[in-house]
Amino acid sequence: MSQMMSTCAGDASSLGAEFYRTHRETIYRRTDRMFAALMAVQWVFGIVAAMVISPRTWAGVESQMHPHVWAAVVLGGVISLPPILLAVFKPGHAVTRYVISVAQMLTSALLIHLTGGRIETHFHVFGSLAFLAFYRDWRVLIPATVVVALDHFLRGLYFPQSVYGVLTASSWRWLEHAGWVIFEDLFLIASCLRSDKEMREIAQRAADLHVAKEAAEGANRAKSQFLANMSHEIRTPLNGVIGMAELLIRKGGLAERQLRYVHVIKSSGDTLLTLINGVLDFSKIEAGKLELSRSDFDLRGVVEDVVEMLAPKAAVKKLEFLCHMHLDVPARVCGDVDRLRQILINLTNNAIKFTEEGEVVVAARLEQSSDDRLFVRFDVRDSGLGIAREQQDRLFKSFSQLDASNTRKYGGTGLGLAISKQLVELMGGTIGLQSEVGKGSTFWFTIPFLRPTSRSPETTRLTSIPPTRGLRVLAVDDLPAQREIMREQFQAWGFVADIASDGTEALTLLRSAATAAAPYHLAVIDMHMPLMNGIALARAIKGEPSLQQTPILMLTSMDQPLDPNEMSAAGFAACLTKPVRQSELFDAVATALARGGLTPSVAQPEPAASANAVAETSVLTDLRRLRLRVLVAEDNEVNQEVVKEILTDAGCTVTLVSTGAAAVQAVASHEYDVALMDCQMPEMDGFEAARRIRNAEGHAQPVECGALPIIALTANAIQGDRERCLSAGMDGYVAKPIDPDLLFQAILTLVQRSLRQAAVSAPAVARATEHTVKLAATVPGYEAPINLETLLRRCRGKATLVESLLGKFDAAIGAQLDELRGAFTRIDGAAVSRVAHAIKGASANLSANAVSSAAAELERLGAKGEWESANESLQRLETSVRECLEYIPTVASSAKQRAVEVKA
Amino acid sequence: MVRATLWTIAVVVWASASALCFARLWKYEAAAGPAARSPTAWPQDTSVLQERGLPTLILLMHPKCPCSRATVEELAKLMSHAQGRLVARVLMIRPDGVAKFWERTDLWQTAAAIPGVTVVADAQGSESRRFGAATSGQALLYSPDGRLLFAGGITGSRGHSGDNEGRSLVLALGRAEIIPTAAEPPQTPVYGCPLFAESFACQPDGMGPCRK
Repeated sequence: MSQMMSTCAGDASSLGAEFYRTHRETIYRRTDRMFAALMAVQWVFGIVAAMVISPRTWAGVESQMHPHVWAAVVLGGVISLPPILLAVFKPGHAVTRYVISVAQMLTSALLIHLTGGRIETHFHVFGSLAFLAFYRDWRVLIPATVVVALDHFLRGLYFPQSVYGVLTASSWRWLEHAGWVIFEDLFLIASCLRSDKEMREIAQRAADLHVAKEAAEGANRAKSQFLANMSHEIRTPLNGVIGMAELLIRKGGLAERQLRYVHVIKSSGDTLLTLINGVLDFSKIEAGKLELSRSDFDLRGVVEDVVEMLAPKAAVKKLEFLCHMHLDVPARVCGDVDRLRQILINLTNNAIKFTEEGEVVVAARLEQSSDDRLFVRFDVRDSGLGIAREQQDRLFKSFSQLDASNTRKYGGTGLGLAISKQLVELMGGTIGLQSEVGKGSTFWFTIPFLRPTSRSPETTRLTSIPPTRGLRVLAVDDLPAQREIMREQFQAWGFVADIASDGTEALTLLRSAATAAAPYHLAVIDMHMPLMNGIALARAIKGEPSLQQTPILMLTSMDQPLDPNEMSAAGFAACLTKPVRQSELFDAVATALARGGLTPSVAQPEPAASANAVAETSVLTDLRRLRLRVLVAEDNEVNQEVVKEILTDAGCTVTLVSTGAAAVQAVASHEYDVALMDCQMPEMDGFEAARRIRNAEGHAQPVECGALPIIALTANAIQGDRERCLSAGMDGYVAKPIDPDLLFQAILTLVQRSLRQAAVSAPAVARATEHTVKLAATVPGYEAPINLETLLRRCRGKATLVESLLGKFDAAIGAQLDELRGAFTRIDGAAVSRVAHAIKGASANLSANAVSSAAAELERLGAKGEWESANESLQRLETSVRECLEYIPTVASSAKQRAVEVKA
Repeated sequence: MVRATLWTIAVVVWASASALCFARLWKYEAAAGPAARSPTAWPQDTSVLQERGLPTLILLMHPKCPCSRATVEELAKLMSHAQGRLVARVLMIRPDGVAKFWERTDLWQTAAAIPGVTVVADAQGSESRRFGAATSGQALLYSPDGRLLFAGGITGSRGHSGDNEGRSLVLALGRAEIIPTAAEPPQTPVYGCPLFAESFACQPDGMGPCRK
């Protein structure tokens, strides 16, 4: 301990000396610059003074430039220019200070001459000495004093009047004048020495503070790392708890009471997992380890997913839960979809949590757009209690809840808003709050998304308006916000939209329209309204002959589902549960109108929910039918049990091993259809095991046809793990705690892909080979930066996978090259080798052979420390990467075209 | 080592260049104009009035000569110390063909403001020629009986005011503190611009008047 303290003290001492030197250097440079400016000003001043005092010399009526003007220009320049140049080109050097010191005194002498020896000009000497003390270097005063003394001595000898104003002066008078200068010097020197001493003390204090700050930050980083590790360690046993509870629920056969207990275990586990995830996120952000991903995604879909996911919670509290998607919201954007979802869930969850009655509205709109950015603003508005202004500042701080009792009442770590704020800021956005006590709150944030790199045809569906222009729709809802959302939405689709706040008003409007021979083509009615509810209103409409042909759409809350028979009897065309997705509403409207014969061109809506349900069940059914042989490499016994149970339930035959080495051996000696690989195992981890399996197979990565599909299992849900798994030769990735459905889906996808590959790849490869041969024949020696044929084969003909790989390469390579250059600057061979290795792997995946071979060479040279060759290799790599990036759009479009051909 | 030597050489060259320029400036400031060949007795044909009973100081000046500012400053000190024991007549040369009030410069105004000093224009420099002056700042002190007591400048160098021999002599002679004994009156160098263009033309390098 004492050794550590003495080391720290030594560090602080040398750091203090370094701070002192740096600060002193800064002062020297700054004062040099000030003197350079002063010198220039004095030079100009001298010229101006000469031109004012003695512009010309006369003889009769003739005149010419006075020699003083020439002296001001020439001698002023000779004196001033060298120090100015030194201050510009050699700032901080001792010679610069000393030359400035001498030049300043010579300037005094010149100015005294130019002003006719005025005694007042002598004060320039004293002012200059004081200014020289700005250097806080007493030695600078010495040459200045010597110049003054020498000047007085020489003038006293040869021209006493010019300096003493008398014809004759004592030969010792120069000593008197020099004495006064030294008198001033004494104070200035004392001042310089004291300043220097204080400067050293301040530098030492700053160094002490710096060392203490570094130590505190180091401790904080260690704490964050500890939290991250602990979170990871906690997740592993929690996986067992949640997994086993899930199995118990799925297996069935439990008494109602037991089932309730198991549900409590499951929900407690889920809650704990959420909390741990929060702590993990926070730790990663604090430790600066959080990496954002970037991909194109359906923005509207994400917002609506979040709203749909949280709708049950709002329904339990009987809150009106609305989603207001402004029409300008871009359908697709490029950004980190998971982090956006996390922020939205957090804010919306809070809004629901802290609102006892009224409504919660999630809104999104395009705030601003530029050539490459789409600034989208999200608002989460609630009608809760509101937050006092003085409390608002604390909200976004870590571990801060408004009231400690909130933690007990509502749960949570108090990290949610802090994490949201940091995530928003990481994405380059801003977050804020508007709130008033008693009136509710609006949490908002803006994210500058990138424009999508590709345009999906699905995104244009809602903007392709069917022939609805001019059709009339009446929206009936007692909630003003919901009415406005519907009106805006319908008007955007080309309808003439009217709104009514209750049944009576709706009936009045419907009757007036019918009387005026302009009946409404559709009525959208909210179920829950005061006085007359939706069903009563629908019956009233269907009961009037002039209105009964009007198709009716019913909107109802999740907590009060309608009986289908009752719905049918009331004559509804469709019934939708709020919050309604735009796409759902669109489809329901289209169906209702089509039934009325109004828009025959509109396609029938897909029964999305039921299709999902079918899909969910079909995954398990398909899996059971395949009766797969699965190798599970997992060291934790509880997790082994969980995975085994889940897979056995899916009809799989499971072989369990506890180490990576055992997994490699098992694959070598037995046949498996798929392997699940825990990443962190003793002796040999999952990455190494996957690499050895691939090496043994002799396949490139990811797997080609005939190779064993490997799915990684990891509790470390950190960006970068996925890439690490893929680069190790694994094909998929499932995070712990394991969600059985996700695991089933991952296994099925990989196995089906493998089966399809066997059927599809052969002709595609043949065509690709043929194409390559043709190309090679046309352009001798030509090799494309990316070998599309190999890439397509590796991606089993999937254009989306090709695009995804290209996108990832494109997104990562810039930072990797920067890292490489940084490593070169630091002469860090290990880092060069490591980064080059990563580039080699990524480019090999893309079949970017030139990049890959350049990276491999660089990896070798970096490891050996052959910097000269490595530098050339880096240049080759940069050139190859540039060519590769330029070639990516061509590859992407060719891949799409090829995929279409393959499908055809 | 080489670098230090180069720096030393550069600094020495710079210091030498500065010293050379200063030396040249000193040389100019110490360069006196040609001495006057003034009449030893008050000229009869002059239009300048001689003060009765008091010594009269004649000061011949170029109204635009910047060096003569120091002469006027010295004149002010001199008149102040003389306390009315002499009068001064300042003749500002006014060449032919110049604009009206050409000679009414700040130098005229300053001189005219000194008590006991009368400033008059010297048309075509006829009085300056009469009194044999060639350099601005030429002072001539005549006794009440018309004898030349002093001829020379009352500044110690070009454009520099301050104690000087000329001023001291004029003051002492004016107060009759000393009696000139030599046949020739005492003389001092005169520092200032040439009064006439012809003497201007022969100034070497324009740095000082021609000594004829």
